[in-house]
Amino acid sequence: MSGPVARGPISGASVSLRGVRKDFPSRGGVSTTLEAVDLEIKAGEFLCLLGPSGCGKSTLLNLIAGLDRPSGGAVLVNGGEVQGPGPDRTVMFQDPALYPWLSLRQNVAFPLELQGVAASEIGPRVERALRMVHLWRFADAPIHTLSGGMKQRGALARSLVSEPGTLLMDEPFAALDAQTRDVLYSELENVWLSTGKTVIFVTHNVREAVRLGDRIVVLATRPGRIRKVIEVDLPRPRADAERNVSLLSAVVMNELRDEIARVQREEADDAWEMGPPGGAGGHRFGMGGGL
Amino acid sequence: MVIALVWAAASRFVDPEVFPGPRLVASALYDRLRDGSLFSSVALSFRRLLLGYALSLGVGGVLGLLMASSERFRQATGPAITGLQALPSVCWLPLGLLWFGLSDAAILFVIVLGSSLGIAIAIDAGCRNIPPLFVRAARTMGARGLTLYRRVILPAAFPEILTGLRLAWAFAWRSLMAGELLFVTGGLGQLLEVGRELGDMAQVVAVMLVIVMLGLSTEHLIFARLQESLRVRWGLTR
Ligand SMILES: Nc1ncnc2c1ncn2[C@@H]1O[C@H](COP(=O)(O)OP(=O)(O)OP(=O)(O)O)[C@@H](O)[C@H]1O
Ligand SMILES: [Mg+2]
Repeated sequence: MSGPVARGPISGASVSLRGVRKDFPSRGGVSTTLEAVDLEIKAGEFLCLLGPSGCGKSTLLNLIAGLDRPSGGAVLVNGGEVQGPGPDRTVMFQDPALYPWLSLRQNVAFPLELQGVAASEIGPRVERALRMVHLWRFADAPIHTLSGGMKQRGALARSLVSEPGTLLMDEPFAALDAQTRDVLYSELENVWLSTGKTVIFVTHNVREAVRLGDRIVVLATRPGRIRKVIEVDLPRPRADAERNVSLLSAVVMNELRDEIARVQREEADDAWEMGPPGGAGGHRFGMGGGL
Repeated sequence: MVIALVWAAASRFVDPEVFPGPRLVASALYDRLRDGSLFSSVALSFRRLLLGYALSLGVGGVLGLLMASSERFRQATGPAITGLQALPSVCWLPLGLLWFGLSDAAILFVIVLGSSLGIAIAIDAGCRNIPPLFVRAARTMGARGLTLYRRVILPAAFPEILTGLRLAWAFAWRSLMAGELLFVTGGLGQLLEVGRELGDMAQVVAVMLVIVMLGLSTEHLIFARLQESLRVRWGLTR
């Protein structure tokens, strides 16, 4: 869409995970979904969380968002412990979750109204956010008239409008087609470069992680923990076709494949213990699409 | 139109005392219009209906919100509410008459019991059936408590609630007619009853026709339109 953007001043927050554990009640007992997660995310960093399905990526993001509390350890944002959701950490989901009873403009204004921002200030801020994602022309469109990609850009505008220090994204582009996704990668990258926000981006798509991240954290499953942290020291903007990008993708892919293989072996064993001969469990992939 | 023709044809073969044709009914209607009794009855019935419906909205709204927001309240009252809902509202009339006498209050009592529970159930069900992501997204944007209900949950549940409101209107209308017909003075129901006492079939049918017309027009002018504009806005039209 547009060329490379100069990197602006950093406005993002730093996020620290200190020995974070998360248990969920399960069949009589508790099962540990996340264990001993230690991670320092620098202000203004673009961090990708990569891992097989069910490893606890969304759970971890929810803890940072304040939608859920850790069972042990602490989540700190700019040094302060997270107490609950807040406008300094906005979340984008795989589903845009724009409200169908509001126009696009009203959707983007919604978080500002909740925060009690003065009405005179809301208009200009909504306009700026919508222009940033190139949707200003559609400000008054009903939500159902927008395409999937436009809706997700609208959700991005709604995330940006409250000027959060941290942008949390849970597979935000997973439901879009490849071309639309490519456009959105550059838009997101440009927004990130010009605003200097911290971005924590959950994905199970290796190429997406390599395309966007400063660092990639590969998670292991059962319990979810950090398996490997990979620095992505490649110039931006990155294209899938570039040699270095494909090389690194292959490295990350290997890491992930090992993890998936391990999960599969475990699940196959489970299936064996439960008894059905023919090893139905052997075909259960611990991994969604995206590879 | 077709109905009117069949009606006219059928009435030729039957005693008009028992089965009045369109001409007799039209003239009965004209008489009631001229002496003003039709207009005053409609006005009186409608005033009772609106008042009763407004009360039902208040009672049902509060009950429904309490049920939707508190699991404890819902478990405590749910069975009673669905149980009472199964009771035809006319059955409340004797109790209403004992408590309030032959008065408008008795009628309002019957209307409220007949339609407020349906409203409460619709609000509760509507609030439970919304996509959970709507609420999660709202929470990340800082919505809590009443604000969450007012700005997100109720709007999201509105299409389903509207269906409940529409049904409740029909229930209120029926409760009103039953009440007026049986005991309480004034209103369309009583006009119907007077027709019966005088053995004036034409008047009975005329009033029934008016009741049907009123029901249909409120359906079409208010609820159908509201529902349609909602469907367009949400993009639910094909
Ligand atoms: N509310 C909950 N109650 C019980 N268990 C839960 C809950 N939320 C998550 N879990 C469990 O935690 C594990 C991780 O779930 P999570 O949604 O974080 O995975 P994920 O990495 O985001 O997977 P995906 O890539 O499929 O989105 C799963 O095994 C799930 O069963
Ligand atoms: Mg997830």
